[in-house]
Amino acid sequence: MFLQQIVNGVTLGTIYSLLALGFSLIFGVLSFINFAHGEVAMIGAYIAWYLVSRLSLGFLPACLAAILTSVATGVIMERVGYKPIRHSPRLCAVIVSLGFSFIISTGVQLIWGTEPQRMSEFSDVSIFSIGGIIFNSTQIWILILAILMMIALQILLRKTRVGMAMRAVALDRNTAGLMGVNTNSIISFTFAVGSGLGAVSAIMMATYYGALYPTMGGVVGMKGFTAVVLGGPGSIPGAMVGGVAMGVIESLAGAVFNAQARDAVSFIVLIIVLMVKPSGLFGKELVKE
Amino acid sequence: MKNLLCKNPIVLMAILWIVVPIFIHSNYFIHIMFMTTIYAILASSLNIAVGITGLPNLSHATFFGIGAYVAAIGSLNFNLPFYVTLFIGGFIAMVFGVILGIPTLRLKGFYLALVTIGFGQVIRIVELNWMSVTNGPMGLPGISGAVIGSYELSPKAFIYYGFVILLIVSIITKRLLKSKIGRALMAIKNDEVVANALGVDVTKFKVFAFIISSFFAGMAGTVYAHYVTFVSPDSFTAADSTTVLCMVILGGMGTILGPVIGAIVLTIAPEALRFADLYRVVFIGMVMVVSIIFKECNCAEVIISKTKNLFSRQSNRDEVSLHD
Repeated sequence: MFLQQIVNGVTLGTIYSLLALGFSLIFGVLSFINFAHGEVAMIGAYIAWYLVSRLSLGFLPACLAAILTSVATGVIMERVGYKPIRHSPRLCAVIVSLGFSFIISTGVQLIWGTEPQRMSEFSDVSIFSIGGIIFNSTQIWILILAILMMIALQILLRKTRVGMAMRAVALDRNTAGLMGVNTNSIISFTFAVGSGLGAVSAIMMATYYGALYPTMGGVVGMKGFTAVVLGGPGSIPGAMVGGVAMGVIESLAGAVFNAQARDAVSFIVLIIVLMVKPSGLFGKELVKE
Repeated sequence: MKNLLCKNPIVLMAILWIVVPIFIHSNYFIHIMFMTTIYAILASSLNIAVGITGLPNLSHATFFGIGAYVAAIGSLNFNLPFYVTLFIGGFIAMVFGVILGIPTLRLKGFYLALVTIGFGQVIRIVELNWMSVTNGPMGLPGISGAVIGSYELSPKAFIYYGFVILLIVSIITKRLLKSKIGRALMAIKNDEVVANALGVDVTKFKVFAFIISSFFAGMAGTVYAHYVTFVSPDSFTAADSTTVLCMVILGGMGTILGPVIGAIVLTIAPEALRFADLYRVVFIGMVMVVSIIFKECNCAEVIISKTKNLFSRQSNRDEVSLHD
C-alpha cells in the first residue's frame, strides 16, 4: 500500500517536475513567478484533446500541434505583456501574469465550456504488477518520457551555445548583453522552452487522470510553483526534485487523509518551506549586500 | 477652491460620497455604489500594507472573507447586532493577520506574495470543508440586516455606513503619511537594510502595517455580510484579491485618493459588461494587463506630451502668424 502510493506519487511528481522546470527557467531569466504558466500549459492539453477527440487526428501530431500552440502563446505573452514592464517593480509583472491567467482560463471556458472533458488514452492500457505494486503502461510511458525530456533539457542547458546564453542571462542579464548575447531573443526562447515543457506536462496530466477542465491550469500551476519553491527558485535540479517530492507528499496525504487534504497539504508545505528555508533545497542563499 | 480640493483629497471624497447617493434612485446603481465603497475600503486598507510599507499581499480578500464569515456566524448563532460584529470581525481578521504576519513577514518581495497566496487557498479550503461552521460551498444564508432599535438600514444607508469606515481608513492613511510611524514604514519600503541600520524595528512595523490593513478588511467584510445577508466561499476568491491589488497599483501606491480612484474605475468598468457574464472576467484580465503596462510605460504621459507638442507647435505657428 505504502509502496503503491510512492509509485503513484513519483509518476505524478515527474509531471509536476516538468511544469516546475518551466516556472524555474522563466524565474531564472526574469526573476518572477509567471502565474499564467499553468494556463499556458492547459491550452496545450485542450488543443491536444480537441484535435484527438473532435477532429480525430493521431495522438502524436495532435501533441505536436498542442506544444506549438503553447509555445506560441508563451512567446506572445512575453513579447506583449512582460517585455514592456521588464524594468518595473516585480509586483507589476505578477499582476500582469495573473491578468493573463484570467484571460486564458476564461477564454478556454468560453470556447470549450466549463464542464470537464474526457481525454482518451494514447495507446491501449495494460496493467501489470511487480511484487504486489500495480503499474499501468501510461505510468511507464510518462516516467520514460519525462526523464528523457529532463535529460534533453540538461543537454540543452549545459552543452549548447543557446543553453550557455540562457545561463548567462539568468546569472546577469546586463553583463550577458554586453558580452554580445541577444537577451531579448534568449528570454523569448526561454519562454518557448518553458511553455513547451508545460504543455507536455499538462497533456500527461490529462492522460493520467483521463480528464481535463478549464481550472486545471490554476490548480496544477499552484502545485508547480510549490515544487519550484520547495526545490529552490531558479534551480533546475531543484525543480525536478521538488516536483517529485510534491507528488509523493500529495499521494501520501491523499491516502492518509482525503482528496481535499491533498490540495491543502501542498499549500501548507509551501508556507512551511518559505518560513523555514525560503531559498528552498537547492537555491542560492538569499543574502542582500 | 480647486486648490483646496486638490490639497484635501478626503474632502473631495466626502463630497462625492455624500452628494452622489442623493441623486441615484435605481437599486442597481445603489448596489454598484455600495460595492464601490466596499472596494474602496479594501483598496485603501491594502494600500497601507502594499503602498506605504511595500508588503505584497495577495490574500486581502481572504481577510475580507474572514470578517464576513465572523459577521455571519455571530449574527446567525449568537444574534449579535451589526455594530458588535463590525468590531469582532475586524478583530478576528486582525488576529489572522498576526498569525500569518509574525512568522512570514521576514520574507521579502515575491516570497511573501507566494505565502499570502498559499494562506488564501488554505483558508478557502477550510471554508469549503468545515461544514459544521461554514456550511461548506452552500454558504450561510439569512444573516440579519443592520437594525438599530426599530430602524433598519436601507441599501442607501449602507453606502454611508461603509463610507464612515472608508473615511476612517483615509484619515489613518493621511496621519500615517505625516507621522513618525509612517516615515518608518516608508523607509522599510525603500530599503529595509538602511531602515534597520537607522534603528527602525523592521519586523514590528511590518506586522503593525499588516494588522491595520487586515483589521479594516475584516470590517469591510462584516459590512458586506450584513448588506447581502449571504456569504459563501465564492465571494472571496483569489481573483478578488488580485483585483484589489490592481486597484491600488492602478490608482497610485502610497497615496490617499489613488486606491479610491482605482476602486471606482475597476468596479464601474466591468459593470458595463455585466450582461456578458464570462466575457466580464476576460475583460477584467485585459484591464489588469493593459492598465499596468500603460501605467508602467508612462503611456499616458507620452500621449499627453505628444498631443501637447502637437498643440504647442500649432500655437507657436499661430503666434508667428499673429506677429506677421
